[in-house]
Amino acid sequence: MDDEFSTRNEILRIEGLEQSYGALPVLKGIDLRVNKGERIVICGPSGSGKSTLIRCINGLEIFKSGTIRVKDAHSGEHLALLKDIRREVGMVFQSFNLFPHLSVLENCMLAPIKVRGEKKAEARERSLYFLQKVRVLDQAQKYPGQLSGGQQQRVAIARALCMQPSIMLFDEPTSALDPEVVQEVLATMVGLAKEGMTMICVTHEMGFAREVADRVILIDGGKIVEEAAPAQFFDMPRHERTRAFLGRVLRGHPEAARG
Amino acid sequence: MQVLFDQTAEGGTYFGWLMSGFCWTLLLWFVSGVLAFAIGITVGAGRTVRHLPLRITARVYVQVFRNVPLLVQVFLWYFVLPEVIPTAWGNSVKQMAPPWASFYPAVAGLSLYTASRIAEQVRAGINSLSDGQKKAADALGLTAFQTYMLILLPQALRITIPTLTSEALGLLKNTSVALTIGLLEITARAEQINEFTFRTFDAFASATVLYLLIALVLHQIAFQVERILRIPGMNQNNTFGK
Amino acid sequence: MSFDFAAVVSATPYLMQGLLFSVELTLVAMIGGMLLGTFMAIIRHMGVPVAAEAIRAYVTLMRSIPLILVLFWFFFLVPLLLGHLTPAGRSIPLGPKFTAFITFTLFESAYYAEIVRAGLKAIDKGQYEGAKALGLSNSTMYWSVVVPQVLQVTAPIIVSQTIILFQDTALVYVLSLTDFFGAAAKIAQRDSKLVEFYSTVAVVYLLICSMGSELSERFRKKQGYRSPRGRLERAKRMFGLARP
Repeated sequence: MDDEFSTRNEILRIEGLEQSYGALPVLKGIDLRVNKGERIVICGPSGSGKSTLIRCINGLEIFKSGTIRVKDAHSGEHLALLKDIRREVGMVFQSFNLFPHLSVLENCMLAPIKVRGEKKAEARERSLYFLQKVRVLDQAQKYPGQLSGGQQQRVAIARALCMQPSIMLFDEPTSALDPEVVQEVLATMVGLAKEGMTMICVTHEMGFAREVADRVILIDGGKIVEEAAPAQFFDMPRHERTRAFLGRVLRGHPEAARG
Repeated sequence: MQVLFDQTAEGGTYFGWLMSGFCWTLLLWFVSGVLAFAIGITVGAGRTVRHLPLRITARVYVQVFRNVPLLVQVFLWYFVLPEVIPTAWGNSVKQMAPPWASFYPAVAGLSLYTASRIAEQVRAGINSLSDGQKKAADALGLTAFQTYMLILLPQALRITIPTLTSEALGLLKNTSVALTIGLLEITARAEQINEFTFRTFDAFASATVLYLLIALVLHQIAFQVERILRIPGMNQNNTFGK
Repeated sequence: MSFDFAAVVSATPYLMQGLLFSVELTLVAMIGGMLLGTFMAIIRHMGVPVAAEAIRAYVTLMRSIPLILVLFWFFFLVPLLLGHLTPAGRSIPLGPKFTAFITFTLFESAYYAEIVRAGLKAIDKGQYEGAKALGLSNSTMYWSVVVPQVLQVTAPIIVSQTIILFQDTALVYVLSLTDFFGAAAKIAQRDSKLVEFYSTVAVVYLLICSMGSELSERFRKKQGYRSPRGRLERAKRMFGLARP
């Protein structure tokens, strides 16, 4: 499928991933490869397993069978241990999950200090850099509870970036936001993509997918139904279910159809 | 545990002693519990009414009886009450026969202390009900008393069953305080057995087992009560998410 | 009926000594109990095999039997046990004070453990996930992220429990230890001034515990404003999203 990319560039390889909740199968054999700098958008109806897939990658869920390999983009090593994987995989959650009792700056500094062993001054500098990048530098001393949803999510992005991950995962990052602030978060993500960050994004924002994605993947019923570049995915979908899904979604997002 | 079946000085067995203690514990627990429940619900409801003097009285009651240690309260009932009431009554109180002389003050202390705690749970339960309940009852023309008896308390009590269960368990444990004024309940008897036989482990282990048994039965009863009183569709324990 | 104030006033130094012991005992049991209780709660929350079950049994046991019985257990048995451990085989007289410190700490730790455990469960699952996703170790996650939030949330209940603990210290009376209540009881019985001393003791406890309850209420009220999830919850409800 992706034979024009060499495996030297591969950051993430998932093979035969299966997951069940009790007796109910949720992922029925997922194969996915992501190369450095690629932007993948995953979409699908609710309950299709897309969130589960993301959460299996960094071990928030222990999957039943299959393999997941993450490559450290800096060293080129394949990572097997969960703690190493989590160091290289950054995650942004639908509900932000900022630590409310720590200031914005402290939220960003915590992991680099405790996990990467950085010195406080270095961590602080890096945190301020990323906070500025996502344009919430002026909120650095405030507490999450004092920020708007859009600001909190941008802080969450900065917090993940401070760990300098090889790949960023986004789990429906704008689904819990008021409509007015969705754009500011998407703009931040687009900025990241343009700088070459490898990312996998589960989202309903089809406009974002069209603008930024290298590949769009539809997951339905625990399997990958369609995987294609945005132009083909949106304009000439091959599968019936893709067409049905797009029909439902685009009725709410007519702007995505325009591209 | 053989020691339990040895003879004591006056004939009878140590097991008999323990059983006598068991009966006193149960009696004390039951009587205090019923009183505490009745008083507690009244005071708890009293803290939520519109009538200010009633609310203040209820608040003062709770403040006083919650913040003085149970042991002190029991001592006040046992030692101080006879002294401060008119001499004639005082004398007749002091002349009560031993087990009962300790029993009644213990009941007084335990029930009033526990009632203050129950009052707080009931108050929290009533306050957690939405304002609309009172308003709807008003609109239907119910009196305040009817509102509480028919609408508010039935819901509030269901909400507070778990905490009431733990209050009942707390009351069971607190019955041991009565030994300080001479009531020979389980713990007192266990200490006696220890003194007479020096079989410390056996004596206190038996007491422990008895308390655990009663607690176990209590939990079963509470479970059944909650099941019987459950109203379909009413969320007693809201745990959204995990 | 007269109230002999003078007797109470002259006994004040002795009463103060007793009060000092009550406060000491409360502080030791609170700090020790919170440390041990938090540790136990975390072990249970993490689900460490064997240890979690053992702690569950311990906590259930301690919360099911009267404190007086526990005091008797420790008072009589701890010296015996220590005696078995020493080569001489004789029981070591621990002294009732030390026994009281240990007993109260161990007893209260069961109660604090339950409070903290409820707090750990109440913390949004997302906090745990956010910390894990960042790669934080378990100990960092609990120490830097979760437990500070739990303590904030459970502060009112912890204060309430400590007030109950303070009241419970009066029970060292059964070990003939002289705490505040014990001191008053001793003098009351020696001088036959039951009314004066027992009422004084009641009033002092009332004052101290009322202030403590007031503190607890302040903590509870402070929480109303701080909840950072308010806006998020509203947003989620608006989008009709259920938590997965």
